[in-house]
This record gives sequence, C-alpha cells and structure tokens, in this order.
Amino acid sequence: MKKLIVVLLVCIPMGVQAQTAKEIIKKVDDKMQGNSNRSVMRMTIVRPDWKREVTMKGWSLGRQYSLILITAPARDKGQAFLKRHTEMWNWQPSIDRVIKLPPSMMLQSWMGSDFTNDDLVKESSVVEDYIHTLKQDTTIGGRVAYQIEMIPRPDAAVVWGKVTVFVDKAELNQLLVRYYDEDGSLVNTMVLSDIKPIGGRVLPCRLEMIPSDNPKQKTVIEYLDLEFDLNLEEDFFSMQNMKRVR
Amino acid sequence: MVLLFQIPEDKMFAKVALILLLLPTTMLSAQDETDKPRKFTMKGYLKEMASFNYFGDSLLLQNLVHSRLNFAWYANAEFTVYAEFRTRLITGDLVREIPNYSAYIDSNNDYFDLSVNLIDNKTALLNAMADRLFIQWIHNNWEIKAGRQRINWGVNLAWNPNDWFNAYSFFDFDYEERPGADALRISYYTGVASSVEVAAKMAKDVDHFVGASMWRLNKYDYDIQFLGGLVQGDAALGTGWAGNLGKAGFKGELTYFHKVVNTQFNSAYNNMFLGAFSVDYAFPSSLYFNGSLMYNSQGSLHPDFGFELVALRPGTVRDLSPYTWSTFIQSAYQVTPLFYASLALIGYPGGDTFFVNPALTISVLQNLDVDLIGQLFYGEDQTGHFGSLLKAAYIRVKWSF
Repeated sequence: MKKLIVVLLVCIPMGVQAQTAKEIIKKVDDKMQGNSNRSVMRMTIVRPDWKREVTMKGWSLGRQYSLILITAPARDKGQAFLKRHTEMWNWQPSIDRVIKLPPSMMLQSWMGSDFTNDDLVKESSVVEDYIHTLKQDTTIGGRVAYQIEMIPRPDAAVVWGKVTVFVDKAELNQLLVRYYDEDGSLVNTMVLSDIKPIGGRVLPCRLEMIPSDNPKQKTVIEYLDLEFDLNLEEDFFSMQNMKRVR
Repeated sequence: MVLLFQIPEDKMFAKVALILLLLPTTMLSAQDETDKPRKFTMKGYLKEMASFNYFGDSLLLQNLVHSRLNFAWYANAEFTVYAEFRTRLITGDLVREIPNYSAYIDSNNDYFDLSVNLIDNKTALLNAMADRLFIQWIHNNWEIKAGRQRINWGVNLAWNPNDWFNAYSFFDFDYEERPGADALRISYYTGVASSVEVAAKMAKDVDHFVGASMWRLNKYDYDIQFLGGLVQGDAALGTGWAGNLGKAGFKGELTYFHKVVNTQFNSAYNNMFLGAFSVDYAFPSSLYFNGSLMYNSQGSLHPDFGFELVALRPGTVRDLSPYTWSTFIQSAYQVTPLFYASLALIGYPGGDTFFVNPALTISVLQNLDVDLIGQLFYGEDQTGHFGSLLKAAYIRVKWSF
C-alpha cells in the first residue's frame, strides 16, 4: 500500500496530467539555450537579387547575459555587443569606444536583417512573457507536432500580438513559429530545419525568418558550432571581456 | 607603382609606407573562415573619394585615394602589438591652390613624428602615417597600453568635452578611426562595468601635456564617469554619463578647466566650462534620432570667422565649437539592408550659421560600399553677407578587407 502511494505520487505529475503548454515551451527553450552556451553563427540576408552575410560568435548565460562578437563582414569585424539584464553596450575597437545603447534599440532590426536585436540577445522570455495555450496537434514535415499559442502578458516588452509555435513531439524542437501583430495579421514566419546532432544535442541548425508581406525575402541563421553548459560565470559578461573576446 | 622613383632616398619610413600602401592588393587571401583566433591579423580598407568643393562660385576638385592597414600580433595571452597605418594620395585643386596644404595634411602628429609626406608637390600629395602603434598587456583585471593609441573618454556622438586626450571633429567624417595620442594608459577593472584608469600623454612641455585619471562605475543602469587631471596647463575636472530616459538614451559630458599654468591653449581665459548632452531614440522601423546640445562658456554668439574654425580639425577639446551654444540633430534610417540614409543638422542659436549634412551609404557588394555625402555650410562671410560659405559633395567608394 505504502509502495503504491509512493508510485502514484511520483507518477501523477508526469503521467496522469499531460504536459502543459508552458512546460513544453520551457523544455524547448532550455534545450535550445542550455544554461550557458557558445555558438558560431552565420546570418544571411537573402533578397531576390542579392544576399549579405554576417558571421558572429556568441556566448550566453541564461537569459540575462549575452555577448556577441562580429567576425565578418570586414567592415564590422571586431565589433562586439554585450547585454547584462536590461543594459546593452556596443564596443567599437576602431575608435576605442563603448557605446551604451538605448532600450528602444532592442526592437530594431539587427544589422538590417529580418531579425530584431531582441531576437538575438533575447531580452524577452518565451516562457515568462507569454500566456501559453495548447491547440490541436498537427504534422509538419512528417513530424507530429504540438501547436502552442502564445499571447504576450500585458506588461511584457514584446512587439507581437500573438505567436504560434509548432513543436516536434519526439525531439522537443521548434519546427515552425508564426509571429502576428496586434491586429492578428501574420508578420513573420520562422522555419527551423537541418535538424542534426550539435553540441551533444539534436537541434535545428537552420532558422529562416520570412516576412509575410515579402515572401521572396528572408534572413537565414545557421549554427556552425554550438557548445552547451560551459563554465561561464556571470562576470564573463563584462566590459573588459567585450573588448577581449576573439 | 608610378610613384616609386619619387621617394626621398634617405627615408626608410617612406619605403615601409609605400609597401604598406601596395599591400592590400597582395594580401587579400588573408580572410579567415575558421573560428580559431589567429596569432596575427590584418584588416583594413581602400577608399577612393572624389570631392567637389564650391566656395561661392568657384569649384575646387579633389581626389583622394586612401588606404588603411590594421595589424595585430597576439604574441601570447598577455601581450598584443597593434600597428595601424593610414596612407593618402591627394591630387587636385586643393593641393595646388591652398597655401601650406601639405603641412596641414602632415600635421596629424603627437609627440613622435609618425607622419611623412612622401610626395609633396603641386600635382600630388602622398602622406603616410601610423596613428596606432602600441603594446597592450593584459593580466586578469589589469590592462596597460603604451604607445600611440586612441584614448576615448567621450560618450556622446557629436561633441565630447570629456575627450581630453585626442579631440576630433564631426566634420572630419573621412577619418573614421580618429586621431591617436602617444600615451601610457593603465586600467584596472574593478567590476564587470566599472574601472579605474590613469593615462599620461608624452609631451615636450606643459603646453602639450595631458595627465588624468578616470573612475567609471555602473549604477541604476547608468554608466557614470568622473575625471580629473592636468590638461595642457589647466586643472581639469569632469564627469560624464550614459543611461536611459524611459526607452531613450540619455548621455552627457561636463568638463571644467581652471588655468594653472599659462599655455598657448588657455591664454584667453582663466576658467572654462564645456558641457554636452544628448538624447537618442530608435524606432522599431529602424528610424533613429539623436539630438545634442553643447555649451561653451568661452564661446561667443558671433565668433569671428567662427565657421572657418568649426570646419577645421580641433587642436584640443577646447576647440570643439567656438560658439556659446551648439545644437545637433541627426536622423538616420536603414531604408533597406543595402541603403542607409542620414541627415545631420548643426545650428548655433543666436548666431546666423548652420550646417547641413545629408549622407547615403549603399552596400554595392558584400565588402564594397559607396557613400554620397554632402556638407553645406551657411553663414555670414567676411563682408557680413549671409549665404553659402562652402558646399561640398563627396562620392566615396570603400572596399573593406
């Protein structure tokens, strides 16, 4: 009898109740972020007639700290961006200057791409800043997926009116994300693909952001290298390190 | 290559400089695709700029070929050597018409003379200089830099009263890296966003000596700095900050100079106060605004030939503006990822002068940009007539590598 109660206690939260939408998003987010990570990324802005590339190295710890070093193009190489909590700085080595960026810059497009600064340094939290609802399951590219609707909390610094996320049930990876404005119109669609082992996990290594008013254009982020759960401390994300990382 | 035979024979530096000018065409394969940091890095650019200068009705043309080479040698985890070279080949009417133009171009020196005019005649001017040449030593939270370096203590975009070591002019847009100073600089980082710095500039006399220290801290989401020192004969005190007003950025710099020793820079005053504030804001559409205001207690509402002074490169931080009040508004907009447009206006309340600066940057290829830039100066001329003093248009092609 005693044994049975123990078994029940252990089982109830996991077995009897299905995962809540918020739990799923948290797991997906934790898997993609890790507690800390180091990445090498290439961002390509693609338009019908041309494309431009930016490559960068990034370090992050939780949601509060991140550091990005631009490694190409030549014009911007060596510039770095540091984010600590709500503060953000830009290091310009050519003129020996640290520029403190105003908070309004967070929602600006990242280097002219279809991503915003916020997408890159993740000021807002997909877990904490939204109310999540589980919708009808669906299938994407042969994978059975959860469909989760996310509505921003009233006080959250989020530009979207609604975000719909499709998550692979088997691997707990995002497959598709749709971003809507406050009037309910679709603004951006993010397609995640090239799912493969990287940094000891199985993750989508290619993220394509496609604006719906201009489906011929997109911005692609590719993870070229990814490592998780490094021994990064909070003080790694400092002014001195912003100037020193290579 | 044509230039080779004109090099003065006794100048070793000249030969080195010429090699540096020609280097970019031969060292282009040095692009790193791997993500491992390299021990030796080289980057830079080659720019070609044509300028059209209208002084009243007369048009003066100038052509500038401008190369920059930045070398860094990461000797080990603690020592790095930086050497950066700027080479300019200038031809056209300004070289021919303006008296002492070659001396003006060759003047960007600090204690050590690291600039040389390799060609200096009425047809062409070739100047080569090293504006960064320093060794950096890093150990934990310590950082020491010795040699020609840029010591940037300013926080604003347009005017920097805290920039005591190496003032620069907003009008000098083609000098993106801005001048350096021959100095020793010791920094200790007391935290993740705080530090103490001491810096001293080499000088042959007190007129040119700058020695100062700065304490930088981060509190209530503000970067705050306090400065003190001896600046070209003045006891100097200053403070600066960078923080937010709501979603907007709010920055400021204040400097107070009190004459201690009479020097060529402070002979006209006993005390001087310089202050500059700026507010900037970026809309989600990428439209960006910056508004700045500067005050100079020794300025004048109607300085004699103020605009001529404004347009020249500042000798020290005291020369940022000869006007009592100076205002700056800039808006910039990323039209598409390929087109970046901006418009800056500088006005002097109480005075009758203003400056208009439209600019468009076009990304033609991944590493090739074209800039179209206008600089329009309006004001009273020497006879008291209001009108355009100088209208300049620039077309610049920049290839970065």
